[in-house]
Amino acid sequence: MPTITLNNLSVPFTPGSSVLEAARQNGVRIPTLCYHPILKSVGACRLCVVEVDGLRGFPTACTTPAADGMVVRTDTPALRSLRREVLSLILSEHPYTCLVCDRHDRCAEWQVTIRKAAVTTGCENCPKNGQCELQTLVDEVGLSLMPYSISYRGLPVEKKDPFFDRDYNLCILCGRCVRVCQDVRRTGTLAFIQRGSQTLVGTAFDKSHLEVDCEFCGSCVDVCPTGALYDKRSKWEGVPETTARTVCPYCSVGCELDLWIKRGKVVGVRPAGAVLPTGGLLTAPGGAAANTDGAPRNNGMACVRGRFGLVEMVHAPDRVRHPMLRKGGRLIETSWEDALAFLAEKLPAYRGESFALLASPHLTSESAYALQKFARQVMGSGNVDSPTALPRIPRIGELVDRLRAERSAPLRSLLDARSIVVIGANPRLSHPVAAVYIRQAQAAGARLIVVDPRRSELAKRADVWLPVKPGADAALLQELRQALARETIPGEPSNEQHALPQGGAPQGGAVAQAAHCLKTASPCVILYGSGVTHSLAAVETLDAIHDLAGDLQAGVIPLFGAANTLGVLDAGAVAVDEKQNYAGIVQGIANGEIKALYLAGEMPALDELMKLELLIVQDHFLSPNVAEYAHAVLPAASFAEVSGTLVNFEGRAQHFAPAIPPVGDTRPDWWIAAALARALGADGFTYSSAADVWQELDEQERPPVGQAASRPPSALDSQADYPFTLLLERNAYAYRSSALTDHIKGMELCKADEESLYLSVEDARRLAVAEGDLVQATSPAGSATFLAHLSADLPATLAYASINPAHGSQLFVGMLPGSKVCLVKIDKVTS
Amino acid sequence: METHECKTTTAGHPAGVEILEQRMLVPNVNVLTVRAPAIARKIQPGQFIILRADERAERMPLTVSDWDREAGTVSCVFMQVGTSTQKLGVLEPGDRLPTFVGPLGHPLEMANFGTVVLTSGCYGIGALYPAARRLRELGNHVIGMVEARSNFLLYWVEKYRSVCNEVIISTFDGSKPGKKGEGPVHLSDLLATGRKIDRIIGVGCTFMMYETARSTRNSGVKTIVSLNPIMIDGTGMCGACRVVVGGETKFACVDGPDFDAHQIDWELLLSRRKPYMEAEAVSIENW
Ligand code: SF4
Ligand code: SF4
Ligand code: SF4
Ligand code: SF4
Ligand code: FES
Repeated sequence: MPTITLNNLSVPFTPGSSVLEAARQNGVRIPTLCYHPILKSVGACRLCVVEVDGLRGFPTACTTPAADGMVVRTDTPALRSLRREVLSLILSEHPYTCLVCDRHDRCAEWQVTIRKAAVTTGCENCPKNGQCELQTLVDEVGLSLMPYSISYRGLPVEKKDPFFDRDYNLCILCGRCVRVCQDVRRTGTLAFIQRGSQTLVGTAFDKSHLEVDCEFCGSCVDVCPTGALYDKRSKWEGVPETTARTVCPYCSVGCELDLWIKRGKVVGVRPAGAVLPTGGLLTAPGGAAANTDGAPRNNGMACVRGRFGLVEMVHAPDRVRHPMLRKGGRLIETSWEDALAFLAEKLPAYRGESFALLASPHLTSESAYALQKFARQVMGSGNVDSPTALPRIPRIGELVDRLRAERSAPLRSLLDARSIVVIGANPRLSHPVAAVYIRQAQAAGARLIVVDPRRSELAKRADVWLPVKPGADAALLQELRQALARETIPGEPSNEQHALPQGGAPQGGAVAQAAHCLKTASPCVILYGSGVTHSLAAVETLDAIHDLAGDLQAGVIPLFGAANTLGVLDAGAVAVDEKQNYAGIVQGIANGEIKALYLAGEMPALDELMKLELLIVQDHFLSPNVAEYAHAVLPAASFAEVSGTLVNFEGRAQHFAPAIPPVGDTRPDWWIAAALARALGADGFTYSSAADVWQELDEQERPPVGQAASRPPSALDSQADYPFTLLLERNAYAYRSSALTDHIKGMELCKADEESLYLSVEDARRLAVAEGDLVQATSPAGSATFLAHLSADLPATLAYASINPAHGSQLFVGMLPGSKVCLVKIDKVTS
Repeated sequence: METHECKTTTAGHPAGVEILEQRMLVPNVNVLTVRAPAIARKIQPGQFIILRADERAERMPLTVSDWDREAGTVSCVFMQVGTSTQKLGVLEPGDRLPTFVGPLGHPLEMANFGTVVLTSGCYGIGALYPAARRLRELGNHVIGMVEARSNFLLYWVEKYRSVCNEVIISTFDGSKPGKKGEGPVHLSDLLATGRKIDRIIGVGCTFMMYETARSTRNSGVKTIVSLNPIMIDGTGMCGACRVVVGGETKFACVDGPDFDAHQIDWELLLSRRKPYMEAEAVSIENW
């Protein structure tokens, strides 16, 4: 290992480090401000100046590469005075009074009233007080007298956007927010801008973040060293009492997050690794999540759901907090004792096939396991399923498993990929952090090939877009394989672009281009999403993906919508038999064979629920139609209140511990299943913790997987009555049986196109529909009204809509959850 | 005490009081001007009004900072701290306040005392201005002491200069035109010069008034402070504004808001504010 001499001490450092990193590796502090470990160093603030023998002047440690034998001094009188000067200059445009005020301590004690001010005028009313890097720096640099008086910018505080406020009067122009947005997230929402004679950071043309397509990922807020950018929600919470490392429960990326805790409540969320520790801030104890193999895979990132959608979900005022039983037509709060006694009396009558369980793929593995065990062993019913795929087709678990066993690739492999194929997925919405990795790979030169019926946003960013008829993916992929086989170009990677020619190439051309790309750019990673698993041709497409991945020696990442699809599969909370799958269960309810239904975080939008003799709902929230029919409501503790395991799309089991005590009278899902089993007199349910359940689950043989019967390729063929193929995007903000957009203020703004229907320009002309008209889409199952939008990105007879299933769209009544396509006719609504 | 419900429900006009001007003077300090002729006719220095920003907002007392008896307008300087004041801060000219009641509270005692020092900070700079104007009219030698954390938080300095004989500006950080340090420190210095001062009046945050009381305690000069603790209904019914003065329980809204600074039980007063602030933290999140 090379060595460097730091302040007269010779110490080793990891090759490739900067002088700053070499110092940190050896526990030597150098003051920094513009540096952040997840960002490229730019040497902008000049606080990290050092003296290096043989180098003139005072180089910045963050940008100077460490070299073997280098002699560096980090703390000399000259450096100290230089740093004081640099910091004074930086602070001269900052309301610094409190920073250098000698009555600071007394003031904090008395002036309790001034904290929640509209505008921050000093630390005492700043949301960052106690966790601010400037406060640490002033101490570190030893600044006690300011030579300059404050020149306050007097800019209005920006409060109109959701989730976070921006007060650029506090900004010290370190550029961290700009770099994270441009270089890491690759969204490019933020930039240095010029306003009059002032250089500031912000959005181009001073637009609001909503107007410039900000993803509200919160990364800029996380890296900001000052109070300039701050969460609305936790603005006045101050320094958390403690933090807890956990796993995001929303999508299958499985980002590691730090929950900020105060008074037994979650008051804030930060992605692991994003926030630099400062004097006042506690860093998360590393051991809470067991998957501490190296840096968190989200690398300091999250998305709007994980970053801004957890506190409100956990502490939502409308969360179900107590068990409820229907009495005299109304749901009445009751005790666990009474609820369990009621069910212990009712349930035995439904042992066998008249009982069914539908489990959410958002459940922890432990909960899914305990629930399915309850259904199978105590209730003696095989009617157990979870919406992991389109329910009408046979189980595809086997194919998913085969890909996982043979081709599983870590998320980070995207960064080394030279080519990426995305099939049937919209990761920017569904798996935002994976989308960031794709953008980063592209920036590093990887080729992107997108298979999608519509020219989605991702397709527009792609090198090659392969438009495909819904359901015909398998045929297209086979065509691609043949083209690959024909490609004879030797494996010399070329750098020329293979953009789709203007005006769109014939299919053959695009396939040939894609084949050329793939042949010349390896390694390759293939990602597939719900457009594959939830299409009618899921089986064929998964087969084709398996073949293609084999040809290319590519890694495969499945973009499952829910956080624990793989874990729920592993836990056996899915049907073994086609008759007992989701569709079979729904049919059983409709024809009266199934009389008792246990819904654990899952909610089919079915009128038939009213036919049930016993409906048990176990969840965080009660949707109105369930509230109408449920006989018993069991309040489930949220992920923040339980320990458990989520298996992310890499197949990695991520264990997490409870961060706060259960809200109200809620209990972990697995606990409820076990308590029910015991109430029914069953043995084998004496778990005292989730770890007990995990141990049992881990020792199990994988439950048998159903046969993936092969079916004829079943691309939907338009029929005369229903000439349009409608692609349905389910609200990516769905969680268990409700949608975050319904519970979290501001979330709906990120999802503006809900209840909108996109039509090709050609079809619109034919139907005489103009932008913004109301249209009615009618499927054999029902109809729904949408706002029409014209799109140049759709071929004729293909339409696209984003819907919120929690609102029980009429198109879904009688349709099965997860359906991605249906045939419809579209009419203009004339009123 | 006089209370005048000022309900302008003249036919054709919506109920409530119309906002004529809303301006942020310096960060967090706004001046709000409304049309309220009945109040403008009667108001005296030191009196306050109670308003609500909207139908759902809580009642909030604000000291009146300026008025124009002829034009029938009343202005209040207020700090945007907490939910209610931030709700008030976003209202615009033309908006209407459902409640605007006053004048309330006892006026400050106004006479020719001789030399009077007025010491103020935050919203108090505005709140004490009418007293400065009136005391000067009555022939006093008026010394206005204005404090702010930093110069960018100073306002109405020119207005003070126009009615005071002397103006002493202090900024905690010494930024110009201020003298470095807190107002009460400069007040101590002033008293230490042996100059004859006949009365001291202080308005500002509780902490600043507490410090004022401390620095004048030994001088024997009568010191009046205006208490701004939590007042909710302005009639003494709710008891939220209880203070102990000279061993007796008083209600700031009815008996005050001005009290002899040396008689106030400060420890009690300051300790009572905390629980309220915790509740406020929750209410602003849910706003
Ligand atoms: S950003 Fe930091 S230094 Fe500036 S006011 Fe806030 S806490 Fe104080
Ligand atoms: S929230 Fe994310 S996308 Fe939006 S500006 Fe910040 S870093 Fe950029
Ligand atoms: S907003 Fe924050 S991160 Fe961005 S430049 Fe200013 S201080 Fe730095
Ligand atoms: S990308 Fe997925 S796992 Fe990560 S924060 Fe967002 S929803 Fe959670
Ligand atoms: S941290 Fe090195 S220049 Fe800013």
